[in-house]
Amino acid sequence: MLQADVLLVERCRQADERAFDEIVQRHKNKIYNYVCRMTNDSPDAEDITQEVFIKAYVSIGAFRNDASVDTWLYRIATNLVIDRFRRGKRAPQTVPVLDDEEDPLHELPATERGSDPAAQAQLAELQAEVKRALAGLPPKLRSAIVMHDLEGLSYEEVAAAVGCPVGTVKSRLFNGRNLLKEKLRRYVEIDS
Amino acid sequence: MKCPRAQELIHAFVDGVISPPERQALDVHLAGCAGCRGELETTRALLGLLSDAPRRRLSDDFDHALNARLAQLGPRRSPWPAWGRLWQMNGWRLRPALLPVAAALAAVVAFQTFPLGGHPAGDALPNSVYIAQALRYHEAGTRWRGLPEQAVDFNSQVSSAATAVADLIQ
Repeated sequence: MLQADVLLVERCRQADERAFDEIVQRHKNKIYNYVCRMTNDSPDAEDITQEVFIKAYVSIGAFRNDASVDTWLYRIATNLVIDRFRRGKRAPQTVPVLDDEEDPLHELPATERGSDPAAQAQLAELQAEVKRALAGLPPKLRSAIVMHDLEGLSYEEVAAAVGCPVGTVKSRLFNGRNLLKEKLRRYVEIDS
Repeated sequence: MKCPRAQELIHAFVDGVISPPERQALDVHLAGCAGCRGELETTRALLGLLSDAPRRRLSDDFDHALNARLAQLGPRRSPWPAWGRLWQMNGWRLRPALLPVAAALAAVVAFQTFPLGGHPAGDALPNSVYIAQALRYHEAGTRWRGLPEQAVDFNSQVSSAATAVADLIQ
């Protein structure tokens, strides 16, 4: 666990509101991206991210120092997202048609978009395909792939965040990647 | 090594968690298996695609909206409710090193407000004599851990005194 996070949690326990705000600033983007990928960019993603921090705020007294703040927040986010899936508020399997606002390239600075319109269109199509393929994975496999392969958590951190053994994380990654390779075959197969 | 085991190791390899003996065994297998070499390449290509996935940005309104929702919950409850609020009023943080100062303040205010036996709320005020005695030990240079046995509850007594004083101030 990062020393800075340990100190922030300790300050939160002493009712220091600024410490909690600092935790939000340190982790909000990671959690938001995780929620976006788990909900296929649901319009509720920002709302769910807020709920993650509200739950953290309310229960920080019960936080155990043997976990990291990161994995604790991912665990709260995972539970909230799965809860939403169960309640069927937003069907995670539905893939919205991309419009200009949802164009993945819309997120990037102009310098990273390149100037070739054909290359831009190709990249946008590829990213939409990846997004669609991820959205089609069962939630448990998707959660492992997003945390490990997109957000960079270790096997152990993913295991702590979802509450399962490391061996299960490895098997979810193995199965999830194989499913993704099937779905994205034309983009990942190398001609030999 | 058979292909299914090699394919498991390919994932450990691309994740950078393969052991040297496993790596050696995988290399031997890959040298003679075009199918698994292809599997390694497609796995690498997939991870490349995933790592290129664009990141989303929160709206500028996020902090404001979150703070509004947090404000509805009311102030955080500290493990030492009134005690924590007292310290926060001045932007201070509770530290063990400040306990003697806290105790001194609490005891002085308590003695000034309610001399011995004069408390209208009966048991609400903690044992001020006990605190004063503990403070004398402290002022005499006795180390915290070296306080006499009857003062082991010093911390909780001081905390109670501070709570009582906070209630009186409110």
